[in-house]
Amino acid sequence: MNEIAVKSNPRRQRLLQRVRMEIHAELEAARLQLQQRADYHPTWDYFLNLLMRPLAPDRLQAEVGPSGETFMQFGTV
Amino acid sequence: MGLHPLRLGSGCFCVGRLSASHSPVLMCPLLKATMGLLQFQAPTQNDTMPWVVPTTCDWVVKFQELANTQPEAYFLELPHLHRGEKGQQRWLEEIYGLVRLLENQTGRKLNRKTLLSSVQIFMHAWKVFGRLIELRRKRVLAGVWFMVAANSFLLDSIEIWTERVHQMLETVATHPPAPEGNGVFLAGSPIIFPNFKLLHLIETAGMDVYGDDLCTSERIWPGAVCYEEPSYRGIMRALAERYHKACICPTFADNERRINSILNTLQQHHIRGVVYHVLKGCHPFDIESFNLEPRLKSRGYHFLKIETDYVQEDSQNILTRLEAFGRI
Ligand code: SF4
Repeated sequence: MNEIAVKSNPRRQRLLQRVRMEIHAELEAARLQLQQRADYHPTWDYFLNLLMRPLAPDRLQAEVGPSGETFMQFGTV
Repeated sequence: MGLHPLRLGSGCFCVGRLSASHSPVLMCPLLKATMGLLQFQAPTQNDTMPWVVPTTCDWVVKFQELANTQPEAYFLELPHLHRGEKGQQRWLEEIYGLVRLLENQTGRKLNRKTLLSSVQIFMHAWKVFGRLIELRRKRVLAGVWFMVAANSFLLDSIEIWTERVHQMLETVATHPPAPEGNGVFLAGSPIIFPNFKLLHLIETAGMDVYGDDLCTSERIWPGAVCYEEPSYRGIMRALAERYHKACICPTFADNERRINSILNTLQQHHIRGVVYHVLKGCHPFDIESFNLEPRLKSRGYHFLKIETDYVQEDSQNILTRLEAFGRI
């Protein structure tokens, strides 16, 4: 579904809102599970924080922006 | 060139349903989740940057078409035969094509100096990451923490990330190794946070991952960039070779090295078996499992194939199978 269709569909918008909260809950639960391990160390938080940003491009740009980098999207894993 | 590559991929379970109605049922869940996430993407200047899509598996090739969203895809045609000169030459041409695209996008020219400096930065990161791999092999670092660090590759500037991996090394270097236990090798479809289901289940079953060949983990680097001469062309050729000839992705047709590489790791580090992860719909790894299993078993290694999706419902079933595997 493209962006215009999403904007003009209130049901779709409510669904997006719900899923956004679910994503957040899913990420938080995964992070907590790791932070509660006996071998957890605060040094790992840097990596966990990076992984907590599934919608990375715009947010990354805001954070790493001063280095002047532009983010290029690459397909595949 | 002042660009930062951003890898598309997601391990979120819940988000796939946003794309479920307009994608095939058996689509790779990792890409289905990514498609769902794209619907939240605020328009930024990235929208003018194309997606660079290496033609690896069919799902990747069709991803942009299914996602039906901006920006355009720029396809890097990946020759699926990579041992011969012909395929390597074609790939090198693709890489030059990519450079032209990036130069057009940025209005900047790639030169030998910046190329060399970038290669050196990535090679330093590769060496630091190699030490992290060693610590995992020595059971000083749990498989799950290794995956946390590897998964975050390219989510920050490479220099900062390398520095943090270095700190991680210093933190764990003094730790005593975990008692010699039930180490396994993890192969197959990629794992991306927060989908650490299989890793947690392996630990719950009393095992740990001592090595893997996932493209989101140990295989983020296929090796060093080895150039014969540090000229622009020499470095470009070396880069192309590293990401093609040296790559052991199962989408290649002539890929004997991949199986040998897994066998070598098992032998060198006394790992008794392979847990093979197949995401539903991931054909390259599913197909490969039929070749790998008999090869491993004929050499006395154990093999367990886990086919799963982005769901929690099968966890108990997987755990039961892993526990039985751990007892062999
Ligand atoms: S190789 Fe498998 S996991 Fe990777 S994109 Fe293709 S189907 Fe998905």
